[in-house]
Amino acid sequence: MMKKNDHKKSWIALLIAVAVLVVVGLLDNLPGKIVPSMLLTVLQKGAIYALVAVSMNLLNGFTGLFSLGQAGFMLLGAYTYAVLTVPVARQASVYQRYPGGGLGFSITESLSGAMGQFGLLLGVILCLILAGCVAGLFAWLIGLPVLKLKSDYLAIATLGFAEILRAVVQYDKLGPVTNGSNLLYGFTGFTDFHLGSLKLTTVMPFFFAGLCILVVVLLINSTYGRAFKAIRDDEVAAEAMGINLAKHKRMSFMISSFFAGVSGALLAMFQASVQATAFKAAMTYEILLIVVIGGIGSISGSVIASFLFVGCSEWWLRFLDNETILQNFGVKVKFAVVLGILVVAAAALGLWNMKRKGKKLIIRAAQGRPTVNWGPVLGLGLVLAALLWDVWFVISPNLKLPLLRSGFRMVVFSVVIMIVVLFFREGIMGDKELWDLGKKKRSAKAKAGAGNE
Amino acid sequence: MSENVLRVENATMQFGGVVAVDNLNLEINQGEIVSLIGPNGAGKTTAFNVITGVYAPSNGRVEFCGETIVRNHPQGKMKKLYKGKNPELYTAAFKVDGEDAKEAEKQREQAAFTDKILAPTPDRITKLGMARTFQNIRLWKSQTVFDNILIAKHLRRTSNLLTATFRLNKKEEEAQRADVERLLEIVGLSEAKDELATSLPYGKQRRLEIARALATEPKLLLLDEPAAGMNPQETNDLTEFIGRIRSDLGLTVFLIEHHMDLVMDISDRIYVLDFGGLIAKGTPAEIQNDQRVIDAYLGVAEDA
Repeated sequence: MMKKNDHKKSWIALLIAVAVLVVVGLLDNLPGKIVPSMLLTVLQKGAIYALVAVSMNLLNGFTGLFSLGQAGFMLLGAYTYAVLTVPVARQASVYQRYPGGGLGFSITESLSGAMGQFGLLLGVILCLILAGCVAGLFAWLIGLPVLKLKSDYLAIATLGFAEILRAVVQYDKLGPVTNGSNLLYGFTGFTDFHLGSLKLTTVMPFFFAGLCILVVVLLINSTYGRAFKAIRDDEVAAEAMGINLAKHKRMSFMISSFFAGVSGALLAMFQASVQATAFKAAMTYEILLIVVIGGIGSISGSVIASFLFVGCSEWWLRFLDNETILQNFGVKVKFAVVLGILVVAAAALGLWNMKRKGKKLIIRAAQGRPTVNWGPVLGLGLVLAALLWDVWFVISPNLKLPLLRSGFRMVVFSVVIMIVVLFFREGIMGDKELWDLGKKKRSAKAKAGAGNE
Repeated sequence: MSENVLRVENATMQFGGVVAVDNLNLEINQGEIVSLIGPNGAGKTTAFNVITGVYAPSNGRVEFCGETIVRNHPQGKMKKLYKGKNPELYTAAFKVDGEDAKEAEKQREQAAFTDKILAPTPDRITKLGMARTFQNIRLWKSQTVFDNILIAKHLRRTSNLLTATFRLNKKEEEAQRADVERLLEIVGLSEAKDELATSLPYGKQRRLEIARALATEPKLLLLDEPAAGMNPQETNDLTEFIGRIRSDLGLTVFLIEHHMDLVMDISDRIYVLDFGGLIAKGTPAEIQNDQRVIDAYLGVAEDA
């Protein structure tokens, strides 16, 4: 009975996966401009970020190790992949600052030369695995001293190591291999994949990231994954029940770094170029943001949040970074009305909340002068000012939209993470998974049913 | 005399200038239930922590099933600070002379001559066959009752990372799950197996902790105040339960407890600690009539 159920579940999962790949493939190949190119970008980068977020979640959410080294391991993966796959013919121009640089061979080139598209796929898979292994190897080395630390100290140490890695890669003496601080480009990317005349540009990142995430999910639900969760919940108890802390922490750290390395390589394929300066701590924070928004300890949460985040940062919230002057009267009125409604709604909500709690704007004491409740009064003043500005905005001819300028997007993101941390600490999914949601309801129903009988 | 399961020899645990456990010697034999009692702060839990590897003792030796598992002598800073007894017994510098020479020679091991320290982490000691519960319940909070026990089976796995991830260990996994069902049956928690561990009432959480310890397949079970916070009815059930698992599973049990009913009821022998040192040992009847124990711990009923 249970076995049958398991098989059924795997089949459903497989069907969904195939369906997703087919849909993505369709989006890739629809003619003309039906599909905005931005959507494809978001899908590709979202899939890659989903994998990094999941790898970070494995460490932070499932093993309880707060590490901030993800960007460093991605950097290692990206460079390993790029160095191994730059075509021989282009190595001279890529490494022009370091004459004679480059490896003199390219794994994907030789394999695709021998076996066509299949060889290309094989070569890419091989290089992705190598990229992961290099990251994993460094994780092992770094883990030796660092994993003895706990919580914040571990985060600081891993962050430091990631920065060191970035500096080392740019070291001039390593130039013949890493091209110093210059770009690496020209290597195999997603655009090189096609099936006949069908483009597979967006399908490939989904395929690779999906495969890796599947492995992580399987791992988390295996006996080792359970041991990781035990370490997260109570280290002392885990050790007393025979779980070797050092070994399991190292294991989790290495696996997480392996997949971070793979996703770094995927990111390199997506960007078609690699430069060490891109892999700053800011990248780790972006991933941390995804993990926190998605829910610490939820794989599906990380995946959902990663697409949301990439969508916002690449597409929907891009306008925040552009200075905008609205001139069309109609658009201006619409904007002003939306802003006005938002402001009034906020004020109404505040007043209603005050009434609920029995607070007053002006407190009349039995004796003496009445005192003013300054906080809310000031708030109301701000609301009034905003409304006045709103009116002025509509009337005045060429007013720049306030606040919108380069960098404002990041401010909005910061505010979002503050709001998430303050009010929605669970994130989108908490520590639940998408596939658990139905189950919970069902078991609750079953219980209610049992109670009725 | 039956086989020695646990032997603690001259164990001293000193934190800074405080001697928490002072030259403790005790033995537990196969199939016995032995209690460790004493007033608060006497060093009972510290003794447990030394035995289970949470702390490396400042000095002394622990033997499990005839094999030395823990051995240490004062070193580094502790060398100057050390206030306990026998500071050189487990070092190469130890010289045997005088009348007690033969006795002392017997007491020490050959390997001690090398100054070798043995301080395994708790997981390795658990692997040898010693499992414990905690004074303040330490269940894995986000896990279900079933998973709490299942995780403890991780220790006896034969699968490696790859076989476990890719589900090549199906047989083992199924055997583990069947074993967990059996344990749930034994502790009477089968009904609650899908509930969160923390949603159980206190008494059941204690039972779950014992079940979790049993899942590691121990020879010796160490229980740190298993009846703490339980009402008399629950305590009676627990007394009966501990006796039952001892006879059913052929376990040896070592427990710390303040409920004297429970202790006197099921203990074969009792050790009494006060200020880190052993003040008495013997059968429950002997302990009840020991004047030092009465003064230090048991006291006298007020109407007597």
